[in-house]
Amino acid sequence: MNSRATGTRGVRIYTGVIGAVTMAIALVPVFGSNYTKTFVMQALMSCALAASWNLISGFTGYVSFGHSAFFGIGAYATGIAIVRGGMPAPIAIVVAGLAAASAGLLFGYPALRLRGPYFAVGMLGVAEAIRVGVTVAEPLTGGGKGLVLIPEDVLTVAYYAMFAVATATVLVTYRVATLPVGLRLLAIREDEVAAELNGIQTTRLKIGAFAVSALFAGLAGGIYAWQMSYIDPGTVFAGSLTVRAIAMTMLGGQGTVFGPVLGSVLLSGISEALWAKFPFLHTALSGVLIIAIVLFLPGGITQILQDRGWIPRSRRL
Amino acid sequence: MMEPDQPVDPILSVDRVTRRFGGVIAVNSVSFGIAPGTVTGLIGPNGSGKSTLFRLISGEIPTNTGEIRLRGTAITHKPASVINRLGLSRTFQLSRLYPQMTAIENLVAVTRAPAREASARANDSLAFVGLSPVADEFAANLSYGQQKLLEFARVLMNDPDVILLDEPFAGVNPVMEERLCTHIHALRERGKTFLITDHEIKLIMALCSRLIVLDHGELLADGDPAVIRADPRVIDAYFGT
Repeated sequence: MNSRATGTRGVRIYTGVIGAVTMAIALVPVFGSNYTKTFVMQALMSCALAASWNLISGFTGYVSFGHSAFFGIGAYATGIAIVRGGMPAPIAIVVAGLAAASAGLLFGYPALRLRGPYFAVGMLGVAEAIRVGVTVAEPLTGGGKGLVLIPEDVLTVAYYAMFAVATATVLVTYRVATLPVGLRLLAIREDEVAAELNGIQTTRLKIGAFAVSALFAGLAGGIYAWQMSYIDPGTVFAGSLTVRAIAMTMLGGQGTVFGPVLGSVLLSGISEALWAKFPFLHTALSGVLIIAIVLFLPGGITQILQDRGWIPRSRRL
Repeated sequence: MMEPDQPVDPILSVDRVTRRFGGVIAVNSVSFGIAPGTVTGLIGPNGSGKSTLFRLISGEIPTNTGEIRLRGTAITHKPASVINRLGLSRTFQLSRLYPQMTAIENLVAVTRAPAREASARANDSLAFVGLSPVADEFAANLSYGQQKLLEFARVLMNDPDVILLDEPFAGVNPVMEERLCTHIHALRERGKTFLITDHEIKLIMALCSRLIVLDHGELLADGDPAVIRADPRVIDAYFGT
């Protein structure tokens, strides 16, 4: 297999499509209906979640099944800051992102000492423990009944905020991927012992990537809470959020810059179409789709395009 | 350059180091010092503790007892990445490159220099070992000999003072062998210190100014290659004739 750069035309098409999609997304609130805005905003939220999951799991190979924990922490931090603290929403969302990043540092330090399935299951346990904790802490969080925020018509502003978070996540991924730090993260995925023996401070890098990953998931959770005006533990800590982020990243290409974007756009669109055509079967069909992605597209669409020489093997894609 | 048999102010010292795995004593109270700017061979039959000693020195596994010092600084229980940063780097018996990364990426990944400088340094290292033509090739696609050379180049990226080479000649064709020997000599001239383990005894004898022999985890002999070759204990334990 020749890995040399090929397919310059492919890159132009690839980046052209990304540019066109970005422009279209930016114009949706101007020309789109409320339904379109809500749908695209959900897709952007998925994109932020998938890209943030990719930052830790796609690059280092540490597959986290607990990514929804940071989304949930972001959502509840925002809700509590607005409802109990009387904070303006934008500040509350920033605080939520920082709270999620802090949680990433706190849980990452012990959890990232585990590897493979132990880490995956460990993070699942962390997410579940936080969900239960939030449910029990009723005076602060509203418990199982959920937390009602001050209802506001903020769809358009929240849309652009989510767009900004998704874009920032992808830009940070691009920056990481094009600097030696990205290669160091990939080295951890390839052979962590060799990476450590070659002087790469693996623990520090993993925890840093985990915290950045949690930051963006938390920001997305905060915007979600603000826009929805209501959150409950079952929704914002749902394991399905993590599963979808994983499936979207796998579909697009793990450890790539635009893979999670591609995956979230495609999977969001397919899920919506399935929901419209098969209202009673769409969940099962989505499950089958995710299984098919795991079985038949482990390297994702990006790898297929690269294998066929349509786009180069560049870390920038 | 210091005389090989004068371990005055050793750059690397191993002092009564022991490592057990359950009931097996893999390395038993081994002590030696390595003078700077020398090439030392660490030999012994299979299971004699050579690779375990490499793992202990590089910080991959901790010692049970004893102390290892690099330029006088105790590194015994320091993390492997810290030991590397202090100036000790190693290769592996079976190449441990990052297979889904290109040759140049394998080098840039481990460099502590800023991005642009890292790239320039990686290109220099590739040129040094003659791998510039395959810079953009995935490591997994390189031949075994090229992988060995790439791993050697990777070791040099952070300009270590002490380099441990674990079976660098295993499975390598004569052309690559010669190339590796040339690089080792060139680097020794620049003041680098080598500790090499390999089963290619003729090569080791020719390359090293001193040999340390291990057997059953214990130090059996230590000295000039010509003396070691004639040592009856070594002949009995290692050469078998």
